[in-house]
Amino acid sequence: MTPSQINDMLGKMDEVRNVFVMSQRSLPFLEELFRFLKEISPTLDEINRYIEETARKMPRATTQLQSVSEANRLATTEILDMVDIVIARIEEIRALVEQGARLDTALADADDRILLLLREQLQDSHAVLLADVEQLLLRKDAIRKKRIALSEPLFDGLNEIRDRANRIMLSLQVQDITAQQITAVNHLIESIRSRMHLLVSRINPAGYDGTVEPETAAVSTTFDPDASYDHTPDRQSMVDAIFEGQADALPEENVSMAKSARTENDALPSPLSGRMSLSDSKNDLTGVPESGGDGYEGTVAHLSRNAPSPPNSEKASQDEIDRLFNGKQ
Amino acid sequence: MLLHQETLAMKILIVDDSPTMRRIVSNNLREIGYTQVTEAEDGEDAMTKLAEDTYDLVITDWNMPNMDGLQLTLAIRRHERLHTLPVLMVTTRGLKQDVIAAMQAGVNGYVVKPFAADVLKDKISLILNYREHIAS
Repeated sequence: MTPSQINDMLGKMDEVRNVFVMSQRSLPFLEELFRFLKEISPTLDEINRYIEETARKMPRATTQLQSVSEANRLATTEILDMVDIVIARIEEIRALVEQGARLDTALADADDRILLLLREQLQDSHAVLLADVEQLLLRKDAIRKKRIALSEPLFDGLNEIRDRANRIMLSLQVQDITAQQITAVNHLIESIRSRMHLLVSRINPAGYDGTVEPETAAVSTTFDPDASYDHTPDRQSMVDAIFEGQADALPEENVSMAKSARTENDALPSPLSGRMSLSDSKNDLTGVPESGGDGYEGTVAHLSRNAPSPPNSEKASQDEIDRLFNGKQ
Repeated sequence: MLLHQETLAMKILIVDDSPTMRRIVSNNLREIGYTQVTEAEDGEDAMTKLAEDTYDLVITDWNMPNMDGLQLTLAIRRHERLHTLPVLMVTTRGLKQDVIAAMQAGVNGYVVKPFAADVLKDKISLILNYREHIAS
């Protein structure tokens, strides 16, 4: 054995010694790890059971939310029925009052004709009697005018009730909006359930019986995830600003889209635009996005899905609307 | 804005998957004075009704099953006979990108839900009066 071979052997032995030292040092850590895994195992089983149980409860939550939505819809229909009846009754009362007014006018005409006849027949022979009749008819006319005056606030009241009934009807738009909000929540629950299904099947593939499998078909997918019952005029003002050709005032990322929209929409001009001209009436549809294979897919079709809103798709604030109008963006 | 008798006689198609919304819009139109109002429950149903009869205005929701309001607008704009038919979008979607997408698709007006009676009335009368003006 040469000295270099001896040196090599000594080097290898040193490495082996290092391994032993390393193993000796890591042994307590490995023991600790084994102990931890042994302890965590029942906890993992517990978590697994909890996830399975929660996932099983989710369809019930979805069904309950759908019941809420359905009850809301039925109640709204009942209110709409009532509003329709109220409006119909108002119209009946208005018609009766108007009929009464017409009868009053006819009575007044008849009185005028009676007075005319009496004047012709009795003027010379019964002057006193004629004067009395004239006085009576004048009193009658004054009473009739008072009654007409009383019916004016009645008309005002009927108009006000009708206006308020219409406002109630418009407020019932809340049903459509809450239905979309509930559908959005249901969609979210189904997404979580789907993830849980995946998790459970991965944690315990042998014990998994598939009972938490997602039932996404049960949830409608036609909803606006950002639907809100917002009565402020801000959003409509923003829409009107865009339609009025304020594209130049939009944030940079929207400018090209908006300008493009104006060009393409010139085929059927926006009547809301303050820049309308007769030349806008041409029916040149060359700018309209072409269809895809199914006949309905256009260049904007991706925006019609229920995808979550990207970060730059904010709702307009009043300040922003002011900037849109003033072109100070 | 005053509405002419001819304008009030125009035929309007309401497209919405929500029966409540169809009823509200329909009642509102009748309140304004429009009497010839027909309803469709989605874009496909609307296209069927548009093929069967002539309409002067389509008022459509955006989010609907089968064919949504945007797809309906695109289908109308590509249709040989219907391509000039005015479309008013009435929707909960009020983001800028939605409005721009609707404009790109070819809608002539856009109303955000919940709407007030005067807003719907103004938008409809602007569209129909403008159409009358062009026709004359």
